[in-house]
Amino acid sequence: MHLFDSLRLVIALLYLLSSILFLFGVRSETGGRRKAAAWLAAAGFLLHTLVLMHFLASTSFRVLPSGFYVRLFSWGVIAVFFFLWWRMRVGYLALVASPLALLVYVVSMAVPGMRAPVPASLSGLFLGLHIGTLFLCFGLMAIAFGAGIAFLHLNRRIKSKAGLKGIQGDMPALSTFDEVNRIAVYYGFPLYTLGLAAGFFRPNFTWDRIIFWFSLIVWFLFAFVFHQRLVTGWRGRKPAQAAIAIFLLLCLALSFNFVLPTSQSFHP
Amino acid sequence: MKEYLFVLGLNHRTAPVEIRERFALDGCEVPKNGPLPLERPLKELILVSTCNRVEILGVGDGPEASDKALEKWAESRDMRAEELRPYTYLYEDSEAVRHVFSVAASLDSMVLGEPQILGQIKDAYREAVKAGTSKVVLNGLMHKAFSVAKDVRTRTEIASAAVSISYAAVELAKKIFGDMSDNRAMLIGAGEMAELAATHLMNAGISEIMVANRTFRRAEELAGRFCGRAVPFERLFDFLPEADIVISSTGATEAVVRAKDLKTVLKKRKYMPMFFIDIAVPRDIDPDVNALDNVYLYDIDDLKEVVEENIEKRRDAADKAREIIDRETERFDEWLKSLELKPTIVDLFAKGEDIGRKELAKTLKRLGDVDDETKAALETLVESMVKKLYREPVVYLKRRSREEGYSRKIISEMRRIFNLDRKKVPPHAHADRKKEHGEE
Repeated sequence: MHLFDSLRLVIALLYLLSSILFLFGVRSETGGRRKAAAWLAAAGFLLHTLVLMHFLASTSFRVLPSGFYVRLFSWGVIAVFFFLWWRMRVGYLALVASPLALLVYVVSMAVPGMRAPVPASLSGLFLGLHIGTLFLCFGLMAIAFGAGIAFLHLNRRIKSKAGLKGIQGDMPALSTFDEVNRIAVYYGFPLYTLGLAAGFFRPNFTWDRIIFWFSLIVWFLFAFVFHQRLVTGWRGRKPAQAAIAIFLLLCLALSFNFVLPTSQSFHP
Repeated sequence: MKEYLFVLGLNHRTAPVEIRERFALDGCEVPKNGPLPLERPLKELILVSTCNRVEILGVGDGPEASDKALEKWAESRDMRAEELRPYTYLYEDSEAVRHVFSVAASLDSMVLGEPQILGQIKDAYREAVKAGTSKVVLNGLMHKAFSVAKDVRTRTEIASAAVSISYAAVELAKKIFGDMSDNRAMLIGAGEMAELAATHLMNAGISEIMVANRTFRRAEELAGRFCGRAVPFERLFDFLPEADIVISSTGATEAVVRAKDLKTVLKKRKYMPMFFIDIAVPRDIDPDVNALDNVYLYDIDDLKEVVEENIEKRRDAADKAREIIDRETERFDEWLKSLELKPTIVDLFAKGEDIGRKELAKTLKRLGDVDDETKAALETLVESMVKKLYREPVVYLKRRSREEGYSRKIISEMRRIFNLDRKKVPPHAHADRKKEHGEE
């Protein structure tokens, strides 16, 4: 087995252990398991970063494997989780971030080792901007997706007076989940705009691809949510639902690269 | 001899409030010359006195210690022990340990799981330590009680949910707003329960309380109590956009806040969440407001339901807590028994070492001129033999003493076998048994 294959297994294992410990430690009072889970996730993230950096340093960027994009997505989720943890101390988001990063990472290992040539026009700064910003945005919206689901669930329980039992009683307040959503939209939308712009405004860009029109629709929806949050003070249920929708649409857009002919297409 | 441990007391179940008031004790009454002196047969003493209970935790030579405590306690209040006795309870040994653990873990409180009792016990213990009336047994008991209480609180849900309406409302507010240091509350009407909820909100760190009442003077009075702001009732909707939490308790016969009025308020607030707590009957807040986004409404019945569920949750937790207490009581009992064994074990080794020293001295005298190395080796040999020789009897002593009712018997046998009390055996000792066995 190649060294990098072994390292990938170690990263997946660290994310798996971290997910399990977060899950079992979520209700413990002492916080020992949560702390251990955070350390494992941090170790996985560090190794993940080193492997990605090594890959980026050693590649010529002319041909990128399909798994690279998926792994970048997984990295983005954990990166955003640690950023939000540092900003807001919301450990509960690990319940979404850790398993999601694991899932995406495992998918990245399972996808066939297809390699797609990167268009010559999409190289250097354009590629960095396009890929880096989009995957950070994916990470942000993945966390907003988790926070959105948690918000809607908690909101329904409180509104319907159904009571908060077990883990629901220990969850952070509604305002915390809403704040996570706000941060994700505030940072996510400019990143998405920049990422799309880097992809669209490169030389030799063609307008006839479905992914362009689809991404543009997502951008308009994102812009609407961003505007509503910023200007009219949208909060709570509607932005939570919007974040869930945007994340699912982003996933769909990413999957187009695997099934439709696009500029970074892995479509056979 | 095993220490006699007891808890003598009265509480909200055994005595009405006037009796509890009359017999309340102060931790400061512990010192040796006070009304409850620490004198034989009492060896250790801690007094716990709260509004719901008065308890004397004591250690003595035997049951007469608790009688003495009762007598002195009654005397200190110019009463006779017989007058006080019907209101009291007495727990002895294991039951006393179990009771102390239950009280510290708040299983014996009027409000199951309330947190104050542990602090009160800690205060009482501190006073006793200061006065020098808490010694080995009560020190051990108290430290164990504190750790049991902590264990119960962390491993069960005994204190996890609010069991009063006003506190339940504040807990719900925390679930909506999280940290409430930036939130403002408004009291519409100045009822007693609203005031209580406002107190809890202040304790939770709310930034400001506004009070709107039909009688402005009363609003000012209440606002002053919370360093808040009184607002004119007629201009309620001008100030409502500033409030995140609204507690309403007016005597109005019609709704004071309607869903349609609230839409404008929400717009002014940029749709920041609002939590309405309607404790008025008939209700002050139109139930339709709960259908608006970012608005949460709980009326008195909703809150009662939350409280009842929480009480049920605490009852379930109490069963789990009792299991912890039973286990820890058993462990503490073992520790108490080991205290009982200690003097015998010390005497046993002391006697062994004494014999060893004497025999060593005789041997060295016989050997004459011995170098230091040989002398040291012989000393080590003797010490090691004593330890090894008595190890098995000590293990046996510890094992048998754990068996119910055997502790005292086995200690007495051991002391007789090794003659630890250094009694002279009379020449006709055991004559009756010798005769029975047909010995000459």
